[in-house]
Amino acid sequence: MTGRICILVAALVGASLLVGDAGVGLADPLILWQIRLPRTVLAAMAGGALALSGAALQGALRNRLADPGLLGIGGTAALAAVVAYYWGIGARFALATPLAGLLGGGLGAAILLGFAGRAPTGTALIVAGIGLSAIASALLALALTLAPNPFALAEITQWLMGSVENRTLADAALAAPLIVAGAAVLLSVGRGLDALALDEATAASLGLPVGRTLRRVAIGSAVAVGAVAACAGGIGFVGLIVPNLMRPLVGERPSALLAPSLAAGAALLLAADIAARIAPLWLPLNESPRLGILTALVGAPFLIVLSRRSQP
Amino acid sequence: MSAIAVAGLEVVLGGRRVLEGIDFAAERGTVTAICGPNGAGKSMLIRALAGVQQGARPARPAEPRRIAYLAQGARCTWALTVAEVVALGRIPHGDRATAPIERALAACGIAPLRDARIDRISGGQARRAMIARVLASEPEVLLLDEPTADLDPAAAYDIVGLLVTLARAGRTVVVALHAIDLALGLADRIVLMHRGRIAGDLPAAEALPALAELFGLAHGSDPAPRLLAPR
Repeated sequence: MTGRICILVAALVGASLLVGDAGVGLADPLILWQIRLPRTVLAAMAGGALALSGAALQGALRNRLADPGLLGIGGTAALAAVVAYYWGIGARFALATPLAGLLGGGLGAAILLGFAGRAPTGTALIVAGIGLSAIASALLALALTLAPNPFALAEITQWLMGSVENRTLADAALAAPLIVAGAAVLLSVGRGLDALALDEATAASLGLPVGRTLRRVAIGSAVAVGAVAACAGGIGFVGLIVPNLMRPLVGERPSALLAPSLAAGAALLLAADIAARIAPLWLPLNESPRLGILTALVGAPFLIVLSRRSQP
Repeated sequence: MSAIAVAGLEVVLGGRRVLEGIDFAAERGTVTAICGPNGAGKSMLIRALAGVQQGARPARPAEPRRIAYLAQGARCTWALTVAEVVALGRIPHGDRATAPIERALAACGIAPLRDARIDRISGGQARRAMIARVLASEPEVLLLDEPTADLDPAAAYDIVGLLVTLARAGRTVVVALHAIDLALGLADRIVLMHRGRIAGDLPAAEALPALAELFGLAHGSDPAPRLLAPR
């Protein structure tokens, strides 16, 4: 299954390089390298990281509704990026905004793990994450209220919607090592997630205490998702939907879900980004819709369907 | 030498001593039932023996390959197949060796269900799959917390018979039970618990008066017809 999804990802990468705002076709090398390649690479990495993190979190928290957004790391990353905008640091050099996002994501992860304690339980992690999200969104709203001028406000709002448009290869290069490192940590927790399929005491009796698994999932998610949020803003629902789409296809064993979710997340976000680019060609839009808007528009109805299914 | 033994075990949670002065040992090839009213500390003792109870002193590490633990009301979060659930028992060995999994499925009489989803079979069958998961670890000691709690009487006798067979084959079985009839019929030894302490430790054949007193019940012969264990 993972192999077939990888072929799909390769096809979508090809399509993403061929499709532009102005139509379909091979572009000028400059456009290919400077515009289409960065957004293709970022879309694939961001989708893969979000979906993998969702699959790992759902396994660790033993809940199919868990999502990286639950941890609040994306929120603190966005807050830091907005603060960078607000103080005008963002305008000083190109990578200032993503760097601030990374710093915020890292700070959020440190706070999260600090609160959840040395031997975190699933509930402690969720409560700490919800608290962190609430603080981050309140401060974000404050930053928006205090925005120095309407243009800054517009720019911040646009950024918060999430997009991989107009990114450079430097953005992608900044995020790549962190996303790869976070993904490597998440891919290594499979056995711990399987042991948690029963309950936390049983996992410990199998030699895989829940605290160790949760800590690794939290750190891996924080690094990978923090890097995504820093470079692509707020892209929701991918982490929630993709593992739930994959379960009927590859079975529900948590370790068997990780790699297919990674590949399918990359495919989903590549497809969404291509759709965002060609939407203005077909629909009466004078600008392409943000990626975060598309994923939410597809994801939210899915969430409603899922809520009906999870009723006993 | 005992297959599992603790001396002077206590469990302290939030500054409160909930289990204290526990001296417990179980011999190879026997079934030991831990009985007592709700809240007596049976589950906690089982978890402490398994090395997964917080606040246990002296702290015991889990011994994943030697000691297997089945939690009370164990359920699987995900819709795994029976074979996948049983394969979880191989985690301590870091392999997915098929021979022990097949043996465990056969011992529990659920080999034909191996590809069925655990959420689509009966409660009794699912409980058998959970016990097969414990067996797949090939442990010396099985610690089972209320393995018959939510089963109908026939399924409960079935499980109990399986545990006796396992013990006779050389394993050590320690099982928390509040079904006194089952405990008396199944166990070689009965350990009575009351308010976090061991209140008695008797051969099953002599345990009825002490059990009755512990639960505040009368005992004696009852001429009324009732359900009996299958012959």
